[in-house]
Amino acid sequence: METIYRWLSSLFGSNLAEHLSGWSEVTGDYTEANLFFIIGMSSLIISIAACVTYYYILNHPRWNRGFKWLIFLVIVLIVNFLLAFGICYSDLLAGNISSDISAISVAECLGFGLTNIIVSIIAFVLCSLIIKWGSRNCKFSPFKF
Amino acid sequence: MASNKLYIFGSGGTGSRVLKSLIMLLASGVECGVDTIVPIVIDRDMSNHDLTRTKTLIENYITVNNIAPKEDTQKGYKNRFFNTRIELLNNELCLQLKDNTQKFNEFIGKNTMSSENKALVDILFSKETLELDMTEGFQGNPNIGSVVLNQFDDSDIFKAFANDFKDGDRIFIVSSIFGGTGASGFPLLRKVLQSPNQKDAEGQPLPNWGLVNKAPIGAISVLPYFNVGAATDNSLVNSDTFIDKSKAALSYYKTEDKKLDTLYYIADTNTTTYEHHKGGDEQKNNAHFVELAAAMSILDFVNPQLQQKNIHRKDDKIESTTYKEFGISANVSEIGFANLEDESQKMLINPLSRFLLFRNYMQFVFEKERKYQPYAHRRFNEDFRKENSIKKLESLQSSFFTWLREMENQNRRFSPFNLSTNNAFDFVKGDISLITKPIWSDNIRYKNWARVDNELNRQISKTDKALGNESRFLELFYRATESLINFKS
Repeated sequence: METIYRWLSSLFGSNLAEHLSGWSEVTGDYTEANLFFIIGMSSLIISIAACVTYYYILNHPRWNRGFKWLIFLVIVLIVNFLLAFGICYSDLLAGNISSDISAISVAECLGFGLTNIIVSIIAFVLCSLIIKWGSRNCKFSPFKF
Repeated sequence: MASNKLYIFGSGGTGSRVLKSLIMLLASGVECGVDTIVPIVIDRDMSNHDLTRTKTLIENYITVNNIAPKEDTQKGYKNRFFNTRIELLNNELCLQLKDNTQKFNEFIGKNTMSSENKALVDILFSKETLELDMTEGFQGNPNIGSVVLNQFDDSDIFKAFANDFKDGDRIFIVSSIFGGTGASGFPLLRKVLQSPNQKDAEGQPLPNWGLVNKAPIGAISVLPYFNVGAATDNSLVNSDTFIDKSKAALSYYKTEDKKLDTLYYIADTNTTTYEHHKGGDEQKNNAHFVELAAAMSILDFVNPQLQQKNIHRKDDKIESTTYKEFGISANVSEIGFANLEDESQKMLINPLSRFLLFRNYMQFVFEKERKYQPYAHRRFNEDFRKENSIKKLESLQSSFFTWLREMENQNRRFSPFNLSTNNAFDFVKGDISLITKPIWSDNIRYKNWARVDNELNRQISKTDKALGNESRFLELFYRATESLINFKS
């Protein structure tokens, strides 16, 4: 999970990456909770849950249009952006970031939120491609294959 | 295996219209006790619009029937739309009379008669009758019909009929009693069919004639159910004479006892008055419930469960004729499904409702939804509707709707459906609970046409992938409509 986020670390900077990896100034090691994993897993679960809802629970003949699938994607992206940005920003506000990590700004938190949007798009699209086949009414939404 | 065909002789305009109703019933998938129907229309008025409409309808039906999967439990096919085969003899619907003489006096050769015979003819027939243009039928004159139609056994179709006839086949005659062609054609035809050793014009015996002679035979005689307005031309059709002509014909039909296995009668006293047309392209009467009921008599005659009631024979000889009439539960001016007896409800409700739902879907939803619904994906694309069989199917569905609409516009209306709705499930009138209850979650989630699409998407996986696209389309819609509409009396 962390590897994926680190590929995109140019969007949120290496300082925030250190914090999210669980760096602790007390132990001098990555002993704090790995927020990449927590945020990544949460975002993945949210994306899968939204996919399952769209393809199997809603599974509606009037919701099998591309733009309705897009509505679900946008909701997922908003939630996952808020999740990623919210956790970073609350740590920033609460002063939970180790003092030996250079100053982190709101822009970097927004950058991480944006990164989580990219990760969520990939997760939602992949999940859609995998599970759509079992859907009665939406199996060709939005992909026509 | 014994053959299982029914040859239907439809006489005159009423014969054509009853056949039209039968085609509608067969298209919608009513139970029919034979595999194949062979319609033969006897009409000298080849341009009458009722006949041309029926002809087009039959041609469309045959095209669709060719692609329709036939109900087969072993193959897993459920489709009943267009389930019964319709076959034309020599690819013709009409029994063409060889003689094409225009006027009756020419037909009987009055000009070449001696003066004594001419005088006799003048006593027997009025001047108008002798001058009658027979290319537009007999215009309600059975007396000349019986003279002219005497030659129909010499036609090519009649020979093809004899050639085609096999053991186990049956015959049914549809005619009106108050017109010209039907009233005169019925007894003549019955007589020819049961005369032994029938020969063609060359003196050759007709093949299989022994089988024709002993074949089970039924008939329906349609008594007056409409009137015509006053004539604006030189037409001889006059509805004031309908009752008298019926009485006269009925007294003659007494002699038909024990010559037919089953004889059906139907009439309606609540008559609609049609515009007066002596025949030709303008003779285009709206469909009427009486014609539908008459078509049901044909299905009654071939119903395997009613054979013991309908046919009483010993050593191939008819012991007694079964007489049947059709009735509705109350003398109402608007007939709905609730006014029909159980037997009729069972026969009509599911097929007509399912086929109408199919038609309505094609009319209101298909084009809009086929781009999105999985059932249509890569199968029923934008060119699908241009396929010949699908064009014919839609043309027949359009005729089906017109047929229902016409029956609704009679004095005695047959109006079981709300024909003006665009919604999926409020098209059946009355308190008959037609629509099956879906599983509760479907009922909550899917409303109106979405429920139909959901069912189509569910059923597509149950249809045979080996079927061609058009065949699969029919199988799919039958399965879906069957699943959504299932009236149980």
